[in-house]
Amino acid sequence: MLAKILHHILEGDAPAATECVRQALADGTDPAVILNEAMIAAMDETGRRFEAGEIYIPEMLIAGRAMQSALGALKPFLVQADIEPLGKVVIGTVQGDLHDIGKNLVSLMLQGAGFEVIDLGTDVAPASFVEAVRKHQPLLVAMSALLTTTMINMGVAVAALRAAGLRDRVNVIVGGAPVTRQFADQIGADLYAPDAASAARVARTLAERVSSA
Amino acid sequence: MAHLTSRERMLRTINRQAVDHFPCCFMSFTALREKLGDNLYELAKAELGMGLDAMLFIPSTPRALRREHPDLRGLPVHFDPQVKTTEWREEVPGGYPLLHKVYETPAGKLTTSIRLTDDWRFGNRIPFVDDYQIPRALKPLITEPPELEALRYMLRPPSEADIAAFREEVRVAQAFAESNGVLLVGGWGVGMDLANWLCGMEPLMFHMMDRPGFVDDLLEIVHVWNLRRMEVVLSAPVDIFIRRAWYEGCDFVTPGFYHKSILPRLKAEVDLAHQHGVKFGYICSSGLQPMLADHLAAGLDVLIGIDPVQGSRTNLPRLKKEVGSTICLWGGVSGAVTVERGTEEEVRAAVRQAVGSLGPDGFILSPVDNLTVDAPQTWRNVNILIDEWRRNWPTEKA
Repeated sequence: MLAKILHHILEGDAPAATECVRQALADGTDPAVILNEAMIAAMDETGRRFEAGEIYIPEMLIAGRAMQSALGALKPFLVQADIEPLGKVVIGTVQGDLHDIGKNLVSLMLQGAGFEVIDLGTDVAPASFVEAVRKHQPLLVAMSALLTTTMINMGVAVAALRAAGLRDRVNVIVGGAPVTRQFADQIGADLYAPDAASAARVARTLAERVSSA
Repeated sequence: MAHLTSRERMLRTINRQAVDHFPCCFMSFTALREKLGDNLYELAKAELGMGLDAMLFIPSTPRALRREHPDLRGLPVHFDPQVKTTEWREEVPGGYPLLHKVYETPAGKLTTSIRLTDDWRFGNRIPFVDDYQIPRALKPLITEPPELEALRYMLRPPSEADIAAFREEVRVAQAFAESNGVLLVGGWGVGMDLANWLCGMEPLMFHMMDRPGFVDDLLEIVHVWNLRRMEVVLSAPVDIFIRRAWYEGCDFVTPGFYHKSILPRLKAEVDLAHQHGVKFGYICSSGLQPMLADHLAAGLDVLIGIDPVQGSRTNLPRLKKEVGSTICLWGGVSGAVTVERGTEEEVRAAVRQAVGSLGPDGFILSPVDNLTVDAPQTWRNVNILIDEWRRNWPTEKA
């Protein structure tokens, strides 16, 4: 059944993936095993295929949609079994920018990697990032921008976290079409990812480093 | 070699004939265009004055007059006279107001709603299609297959009056192009870009994956409309016809869908241009690489918008190797990242990299895809780019 879940997520078949999760649970499969060996494995494979140029954004989107649907069926059982997410991530497209495909993809890949994602949406003011960090105490804040005119607001949001005394308590990752590693360094972000698959990989490396410290 | 006019240099480059030096023609230069009141004739003159190559695009209707299609250059978009439009604003406590629009057609209603953000450009009005409204749309215009019948009433062929106005401009434009020695360009064709404006980006990707027949039917309606518009533009003595295809890279379309649904229609449009003795240019600035075999199969003459920084999966040497002997490559330097924000050395290095990878034959240098920021750094870097371009011209052999 785990192989079937993995297959259906990779194929982007949300109803089939969700049904298989329900069946696996009914068969008594450990929710943690379903999460790790089917769902996270499927999104890892999705990320690998994307980075290798074997699939593209539309395929990644439907895989993410299938994963999200299946996760909806699994979540109550994860909570019941006290299985903690890998960490929390607050994500948003920065102020002035209404583009959300990139942000949504990163959100899907992070969920698929085992993170709990708090999605603030688009056009997120620096104060909203600050408030969300205070409230949720995430491991990571992920900021997205598509426009050269709005990417500067990533720096404003990072400065707002610093001014609020929160900068040392959270890591910041930035990405988006015009964003470069050089720009990430300039605004004082900790991490940069050129695409959704690498964002999930970078976030997981961070979580592993933090948990082993 | 004797000095060539800009038009001769551009055409010879596209045709892979010898040139005095490779051209540098900005594919889009909004910062300068807006300074010149959106006058494309003045833009071409100003670019020539800067020592650049230039083109004149027709119809040259300014953006402000393309009320229903600001981001789609070209002939006016006409609805069937039976289409009735209603528009209203809704206040939302604590949120952005909403704008709603309904098009009533004999085949049913089309509706859309957008968030009226502070930076909304169009007052209390929603254009029919525009790049700007996609991220603000709460409900895109097309969501279900039955709506395609209504769409047919929104995409009518050019009217007699439009054709007459276009022919009037052609006379002026042709004289201008000849006296100034600039390339005469017609367009824009459109395919998936229009589908994105109608359906929204993410929903269109889901439609494409879940019910590709729906998107295929939509593209057929757009294609038929496109051909009618092309026939008018190609009746003018344009050197090249351009199709905008920013949303036809692999960031938006799978290669499989491209091959099945986009390639056959694109090829028919390229063939139509070629039948008129007109070259075909294709603007796509990201996600090109997986579609290159189809670009060759379509018979494209020019790929416009080669962006080494923001173009996902764009590998300049590979691009040149795979299609460079057949398709002229236009671009090479990132406008937004390198020219608008880079240092002098970064601009110079980017030009050298572009020339080394894509040129010098079959290559037109340009920032991609646009320069929009009217700031001192932009203008300084434009001059640096031009200077570095000149430094890379071939030297006369003794």
